[in-house]
Amino acid sequence: MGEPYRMERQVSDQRRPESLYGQGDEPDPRFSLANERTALAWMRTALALVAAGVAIISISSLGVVPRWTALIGAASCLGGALLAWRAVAGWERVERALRMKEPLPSPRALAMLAGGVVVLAAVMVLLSVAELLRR
Amino acid sequence: MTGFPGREGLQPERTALAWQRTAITATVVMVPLIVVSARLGFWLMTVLECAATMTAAVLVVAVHRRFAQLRDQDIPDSPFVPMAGVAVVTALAAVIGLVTALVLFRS
Repeated sequence: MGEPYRMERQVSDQRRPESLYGQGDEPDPRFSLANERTALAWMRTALALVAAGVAIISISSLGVVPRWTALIGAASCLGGALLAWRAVAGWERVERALRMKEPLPSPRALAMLAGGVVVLAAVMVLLSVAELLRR
Repeated sequence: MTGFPGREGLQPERTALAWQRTAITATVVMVPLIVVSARLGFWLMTVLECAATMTAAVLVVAVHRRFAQLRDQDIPDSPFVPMAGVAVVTALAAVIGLVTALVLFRS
């Protein structure tokens, strides 16, 4: 029974980042994999924000919509970039909590994402109404 | 090596498929920007975008390696490096989008 344990140590010693894998105990692999999938779901959300921004910018390059739409696209891109960074940082935080047997951190990014989407939509509605009234 | 404890619930498969979805999304996200940059004549950006898209496409291939790792190892490998790779591709797409947006806004 000692052999699998030795293999476990060997694998975990090589893994990066060392600051994460160097501490705590190996959690149930299912939890690690669930954490990985959650981080990937965040990453896809970030990619969707960037894709939305890119689509808006592409449409604004056609010159058929007001120029401020490019800035809305830019804001969406910026939000996507921040969320991508957050996905990696969040994965590390949860993995650390799993290894240290601590309570999982709360998904604060969810509230930030919801707030950001609401603000972006509100700005877009306001600018659209202003554009309609100007004509 | 076959006794992956989380085999029930097809955990490795689900994780590998999540990777595949992410890698495919990362590959297509930059395509509209390539068209826009080429149309506007931003050649440096077009090349950068093509490079980032191809990096993301390589990731689709790398996903198969991850699949094999998850299938064969009792302890999952760290997903940190490929995850950071996707984050870099996402950030690159965002920065290129930002630059394009600013150029369009000022023009």
